[in-house]
Amino acid sequence: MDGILEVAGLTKRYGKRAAVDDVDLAVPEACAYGFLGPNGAGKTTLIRCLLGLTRPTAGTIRLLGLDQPGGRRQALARTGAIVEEPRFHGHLSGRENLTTIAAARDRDAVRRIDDVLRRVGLADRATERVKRYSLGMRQRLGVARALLGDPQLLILDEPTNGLDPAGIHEFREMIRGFVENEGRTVFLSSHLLDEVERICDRVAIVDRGRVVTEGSIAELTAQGGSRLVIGVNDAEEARRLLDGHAAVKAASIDSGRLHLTVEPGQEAAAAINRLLVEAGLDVHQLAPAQATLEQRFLEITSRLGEDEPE
Amino acid sequence: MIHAEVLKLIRRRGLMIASAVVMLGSLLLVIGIVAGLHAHDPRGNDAVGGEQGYTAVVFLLLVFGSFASGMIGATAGAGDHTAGVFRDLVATGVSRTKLLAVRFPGALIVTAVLLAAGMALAVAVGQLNGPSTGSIASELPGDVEMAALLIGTQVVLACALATLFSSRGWIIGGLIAFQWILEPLLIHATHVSLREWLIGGAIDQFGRDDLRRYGGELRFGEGRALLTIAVWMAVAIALAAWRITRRDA
Repeated sequence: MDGILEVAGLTKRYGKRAAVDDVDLAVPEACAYGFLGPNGAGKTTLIRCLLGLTRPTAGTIRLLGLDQPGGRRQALARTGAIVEEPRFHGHLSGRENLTTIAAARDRDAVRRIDDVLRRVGLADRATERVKRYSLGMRQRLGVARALLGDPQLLILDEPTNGLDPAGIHEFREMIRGFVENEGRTVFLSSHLLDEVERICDRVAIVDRGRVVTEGSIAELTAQGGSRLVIGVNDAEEARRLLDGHAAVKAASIDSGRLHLTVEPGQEAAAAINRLLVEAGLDVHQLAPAQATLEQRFLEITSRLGEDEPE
Repeated sequence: MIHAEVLKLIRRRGLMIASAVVMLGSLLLVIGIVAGLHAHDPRGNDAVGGEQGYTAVVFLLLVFGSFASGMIGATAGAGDHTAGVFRDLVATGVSRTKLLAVRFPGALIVTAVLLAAGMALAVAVGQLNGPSTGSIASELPGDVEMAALLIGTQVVLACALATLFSSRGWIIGGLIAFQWILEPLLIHATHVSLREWLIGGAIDQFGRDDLRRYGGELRFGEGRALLTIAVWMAVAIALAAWRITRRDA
């Protein structure tokens, strides 16, 4: 493997439970890499292992080409991170909080404080105590803190939590700017699939501590077969009729339309159309559809089929 | 990083006010009361100043100073953990032992400022009219040394224990309970052979008679006393270092 962040056989157990279970990852340079999973899948635990906040039970980690934990000082000097909800000393101002972290880094980090505050839009609130900050402001201060070391690698755990839509949009633009304009690498964990789909180049999907699939967004959404969207006068009846059909892999109803995952090829669409029409149903739409990351995610993770959208 | 530790402490307005009130305000209160009593009945109550007044203020500074230094030390030890920022400090790559190490000088610097103010107040009181049985000038260096030793060890103990248990309140309460209830009981129990290993008794050996908390009840050599203090400091710091390097951040 060759990448800015490499993990091999990484495992973290708490008693008998494996929060991270034999994970292999290779994150290439200048890439926005999404790490997706439902709550409790092991995303935060993996990030904590990467940053040396907890010791892995087994496996190896390389950050910026340096084996961990031996090279942690050098690697983390060029790494910025947000882990879970950013926490601060509430009695200190935003600037003072950054000063305490910059002191642990280097002199250049102290000189960057004004710049990072400006970058996240907190320059005019920097002297206020953090306990007066809103959740969104704290999140932005967390991003500022992560940027203090002029990082080559940013590790962000649920970074858009608490941001309003405008804030999320700004954040998305900022991340893309880091990657495309500045050549940084961003490793981002999230359960917000839409945001990951918009921000990231590559994605790994994790469930119950294991990486179940990995690839570019296009590769992941192309996996799993062809998709059809069928508009019909009785979607429930249509689904009942197609239950067990040889060409149909999966079926769900969304906004009154039937969404099918089918065998590739035109024969499946024709066969399905014929079946429904001969059963007396009115088919007013039959079109191919690109799977979204959300659909692929739900298929892959253990929650497939448990919930139907309204 | 030490500057950052000092910043974290001095920005805690409540802590700074409480420490100043405990360490200095209490002295002013007592001085005021004594001065008032003397003004009311000069024959029945000594004047507040002189060497006797100076010694009394220094003694009270040691008593109240141990409370304040415990508060400051415990805050320095547990502050990052209770605020939840310890993980962000670890994520910078700086070693955990360094994160522990800078807590001590930070807390000592803040406490030293209060201690210096207290000693200045004691010297000022000594310049006022009052009874004298000795010379402030000759007693001052030894008293400063005694005060620095007592307050300093209190800060280090509180900081180390707060790091060990990630708790401020419990450590402050525990230290008070130990030093004002348990330790005096043990020291007064003359049949207890281990009392020479109690830190309060060891620090007492460095003070002149008027400043000893336990009077003449427990006396042994300064070498043995230094060893006792060193063992307490070493064990506390070692436990704190063990905990901070092993815990999940």
